[in-house]
Amino acid sequence: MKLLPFNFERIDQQKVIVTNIGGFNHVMKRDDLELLLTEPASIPASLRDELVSKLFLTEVPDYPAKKLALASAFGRKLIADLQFRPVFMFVPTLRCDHTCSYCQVARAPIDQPEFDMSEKDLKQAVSRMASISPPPYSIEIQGGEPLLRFDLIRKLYQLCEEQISDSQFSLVIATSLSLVNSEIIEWARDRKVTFSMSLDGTAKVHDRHRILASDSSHARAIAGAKLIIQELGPERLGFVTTITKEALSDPQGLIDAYTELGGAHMFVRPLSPYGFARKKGMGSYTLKEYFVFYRELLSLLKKRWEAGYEVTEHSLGVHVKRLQKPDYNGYADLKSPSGYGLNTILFNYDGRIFGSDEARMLQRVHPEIDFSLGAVSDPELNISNLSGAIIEGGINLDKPGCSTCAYQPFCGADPLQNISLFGEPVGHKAQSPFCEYHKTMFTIAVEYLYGSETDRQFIQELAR
Amino acid sequence: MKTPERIDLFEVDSSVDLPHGYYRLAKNSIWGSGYLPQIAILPSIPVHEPDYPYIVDRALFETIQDGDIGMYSGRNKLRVILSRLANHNTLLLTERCDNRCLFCSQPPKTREDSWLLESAEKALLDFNFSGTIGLSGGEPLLYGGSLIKKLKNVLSNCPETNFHILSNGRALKDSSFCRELAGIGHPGRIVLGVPVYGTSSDTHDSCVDSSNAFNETLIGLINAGNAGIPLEIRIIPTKLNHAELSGIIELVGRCISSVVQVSIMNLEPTGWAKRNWESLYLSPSRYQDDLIKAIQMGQSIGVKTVLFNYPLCHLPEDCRSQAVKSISDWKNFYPTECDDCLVKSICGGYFTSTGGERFDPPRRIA
Repeated sequence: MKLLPFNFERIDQQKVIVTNIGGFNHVMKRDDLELLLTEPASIPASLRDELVSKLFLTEVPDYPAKKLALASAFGRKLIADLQFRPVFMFVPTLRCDHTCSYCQVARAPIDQPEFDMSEKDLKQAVSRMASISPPPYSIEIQGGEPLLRFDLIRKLYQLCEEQISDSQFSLVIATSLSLVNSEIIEWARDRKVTFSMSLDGTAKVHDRHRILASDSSHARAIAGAKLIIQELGPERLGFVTTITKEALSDPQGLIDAYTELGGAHMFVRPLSPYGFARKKGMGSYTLKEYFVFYRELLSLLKKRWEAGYEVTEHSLGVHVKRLQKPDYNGYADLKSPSGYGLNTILFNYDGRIFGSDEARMLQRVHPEIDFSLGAVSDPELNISNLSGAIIEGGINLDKPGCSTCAYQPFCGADPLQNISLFGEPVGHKAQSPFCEYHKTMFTIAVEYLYGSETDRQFIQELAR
Repeated sequence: MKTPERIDLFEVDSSVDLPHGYYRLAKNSIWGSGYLPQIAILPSIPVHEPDYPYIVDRALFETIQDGDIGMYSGRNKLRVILSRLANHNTLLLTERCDNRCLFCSQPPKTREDSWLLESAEKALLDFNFSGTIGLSGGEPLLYGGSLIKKLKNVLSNCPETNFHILSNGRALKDSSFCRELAGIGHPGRIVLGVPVYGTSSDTHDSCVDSSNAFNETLIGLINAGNAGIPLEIRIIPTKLNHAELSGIIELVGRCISSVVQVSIMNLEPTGWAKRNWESLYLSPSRYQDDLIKAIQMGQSIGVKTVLFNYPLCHLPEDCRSQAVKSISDWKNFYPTECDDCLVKSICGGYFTSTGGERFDPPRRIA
């Protein structure tokens, strides 16, 4: 017998996960791993068959073909991760009616229209989009609070209708819903428009950090959500949850908040360590604390699923899909090369183009450095040395700390977070919150996938 | 022998002594000119003796459409080999093969039989079919470049004919041959069906009773997938390999590009499978956990997985929605027990060759 190259990582005291660059993975006893490394011929037959089938171990005559198969599997994953299928983000304005304490983009004050996109830039941005990649186009409207410039969103839709054949585009508006009204609803009714709202938990939790001068942010959001669900249907509204310190103690409250709106599809994330979110001392917490919460949330969701309710959670779903599907490349953070420029092209309010949402956030923090890919008025994208370094930093395969990690074949890298935290795009993986977060998420996914049959079915359902 | 869903073999009397070979079957009277010789198939004895060869056979007349292709055995037997009314059409290109599968339904012979390929080319050109025609063997790719030349000719002259080639894939280890094959049709006009019976030489080579087969097939599949040829992977579960079903699906699902489907196929009691039945056949109920695991693997890895040749009642409930009514009509039947079954119309039924001790009876479902 002969070993093929693999990485491993401890799951708990007894168990380890082994993985290879082809994306095969297996959970086994630590003792068996030692046996595999010292006396592969003497490991139990059923485990041996499993390891042979997953390209960890091979009979000598099969070695050349198995080696090629492993390389081929790696090639497939790489090709999938290299695909250029960007979401086109538009930031019609950076102004916002909220003053959230953890705002990632450093919103602009509501009375400063110089933070709005010009119509000229908007027109050029739509043309650029059409020239950069073939249809269909997924468009995401970000802010600030984009509905402050509903007129620009209308204009954008109209430009798309004029320039994109067969209406091969769709729009998601990321909004707090504070400004949604019947005019917007009527406009959206027969158009390919959906809404994505922030829902941080109960009213108390939501309003603690999402601050609206005149009213309760939560009350406005719920009213807007109910209006969309009632008038346009539940499939037209998605949710994103940012977990704040206050939410940590009440996972059930979060489930209740979703349930109140009939939302079965959760998307739950910890506070981002980006930009202003990190700096304002707004009651941050450690990822250890987050995972106490998150594990509790999962066990509550499992009970709900066992009671017959539909439940999905997009964050963990992404990790499960990366572990299982060789062609899954839909999440910008979890791919190598990262989604910078491949999964996202962002047209900022000031007419500049960015390779990711994070890049424009970092731009706000470091105005002295140019993080952009040029401006919409430039004849072509400008890949600066910095952008090159960001792309390079988004490849995890060869990075210290990643190259020996069992989750490397499924994971990615966030070079912009590294710039923000370490001052350069590679970062120190042992101190990286990206690393701690995703490794723990993968470990949780693996625990369920290799747990009881019920656990496996639950996590499969959650990842649907 | 059970009565099949469509009869393809006829005992006939021809008007003249016809030589053995392929013929274009013309209804009523001969028309036009083709690549193959023609015979008219008539429903009744003609009043005036025609000046072309003919066969009078009402049953045959009603079974065929004008322009179907038949093979005359030279001993008063005519088999309809390409039929516009059939649910599947497959042409045998050779009986030679470099594998010796224990369950081979078409046991290989060593004699030179390239007339089959020559005739197939003419038959395909005359048939000019809108749809997919199966090409099988033996091992069709043993012909190498001459097969490619003939297929290219048919593809360019019959713009609506597509091929599904059943091959052991070993010849595709030659990547330039593989690219040549990929180059002759627009994407999708040629699909390759390649069996993989195990996740290592140990199992696969035992099943195909040949050495180095697994390694050549695996490399061949990698080449074919990279060349962009759509691939159907076929697995026949037997006593030797049923535990490896999900492993095979993960192996091909992760390593091979362009896999469009994995087909798990119930053993067909014909050819060598008959003599090895005892050592190979396992009732599906004995490996239902392996089937369930395989279906789950297909779903989680994102590879379409289907079950061929299984009566629905032999499958665990969780797997039935993956079952396909797949047995060709000329060798398909339903035992009388099935008459009152509510799902008979969507069930694949049995092979006519299933009989005697090789008959695994229907069970009650719902």
